[in-house]
Amino acid sequence: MDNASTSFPKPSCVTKAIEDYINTCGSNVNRGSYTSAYEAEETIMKCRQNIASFFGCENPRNVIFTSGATMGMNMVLLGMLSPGDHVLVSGMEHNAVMRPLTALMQDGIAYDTFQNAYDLKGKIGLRTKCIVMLHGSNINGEVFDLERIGELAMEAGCYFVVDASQTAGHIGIDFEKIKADALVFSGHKGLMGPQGIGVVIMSERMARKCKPLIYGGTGSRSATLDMPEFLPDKFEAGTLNIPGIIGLNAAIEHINSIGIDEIFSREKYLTRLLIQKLSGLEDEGLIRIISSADKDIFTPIVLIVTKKIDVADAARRLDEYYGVQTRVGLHCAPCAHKALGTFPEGGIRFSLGFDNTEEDINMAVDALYDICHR
Amino acid sequence: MEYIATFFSHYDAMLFKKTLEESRFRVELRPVPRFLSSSCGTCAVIFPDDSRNDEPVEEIKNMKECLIEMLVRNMNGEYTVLIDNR
Repeated sequence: MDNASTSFPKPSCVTKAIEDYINTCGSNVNRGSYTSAYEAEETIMKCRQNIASFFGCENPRNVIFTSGATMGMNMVLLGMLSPGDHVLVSGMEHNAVMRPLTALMQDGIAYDTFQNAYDLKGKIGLRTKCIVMLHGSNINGEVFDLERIGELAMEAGCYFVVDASQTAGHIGIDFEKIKADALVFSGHKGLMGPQGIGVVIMSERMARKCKPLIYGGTGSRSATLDMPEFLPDKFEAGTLNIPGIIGLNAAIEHINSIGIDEIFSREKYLTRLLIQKLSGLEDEGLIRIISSADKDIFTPIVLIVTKKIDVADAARRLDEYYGVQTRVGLHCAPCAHKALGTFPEGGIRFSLGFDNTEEDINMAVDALYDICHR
Repeated sequence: MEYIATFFSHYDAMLFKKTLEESRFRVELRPVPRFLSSSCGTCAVIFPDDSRNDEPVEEIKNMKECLIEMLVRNMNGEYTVLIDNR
């Protein structure tokens, strides 16, 4: 039950696609000009097209592959910010956003946090270059209204960068509709692809503005020493994670075969079931439940704090004695825990996936009852 | 007679092939003759239907999404540049 960290199990079509590529093709892409290389390139192109279509991006060329959301976020923030710039960021961000911004303070880049759209509007200043925010929290499943923030960013002439790591594959996202300049996400969480692959979908103006993070060979304009300006090559120096992309492509096709609405509906049901079954423990004063399942839209994440037993000890017992795997601690999001009042101890995060069952939930809840009552 | 399109990137070569094949032309990707280009290493060879005097030039000129470096006509070893975006 740690799908917010990485999803498990992966669909069998993902492992099969990766295995087939490694065993029967194995070619690099954008380098050699031979049959198996072209075959691999066709699948890479298909993946870009599938992602573009899935996220409402007009041009597959604007789909940039990265090694993960953290790399993607670093690429965007380090690539587009300059000394003197001001950034507005939500108070619930993951360290993939906060650590680059904190490091950039040494280069004369400042940031402030905002609580909501109203608060944001009052804080946009002349030097505000960019608004960065998450779509969904990795702590409590809360999902934020991006459209309104995107509108405000556009009105103010700011870039809008969205971290969709927790919502991609769980909730429908329309890149054009939210008016984002960069949509950053990992391929291995809700999208059910393998680790080591992520995506940045970039607007044209962001692509022009942003400098590459990594410089090197792209297999294009090979006679020159400058990085190409055209996409996707500008941001894809070096050999791509081809097995990762091929696995991600298979994963997206699998998700499309189920339907994102069906996935959301199922995960919503499972999350509410978990909370309903945990509520007895909360009524007894043994745990506190923190979730967003009372809203219409949320991701399948439930945070609990155990009141009579150390959370780390409870999580250890869940795993060792009952085989229930969760993540305990601050979840790489100290700012979010501060906002929720669970800092510095953190909590136990149950994060469900499409393949979790009612039986999993019953087992986890029974286990927690045992642990709390000992 | 055949046409050769050269590109700045493999991405555009793949896109070109896909787009033109959806039309009516047979297209093959091959290593680019080095005297033509040293950009991305791949070119697309287009085989028009000679019996129908079918030329792909206008179609290629109208491709908005695809960046091509050059389009060259090869008539029995004689190369003529038709489009040059270098």
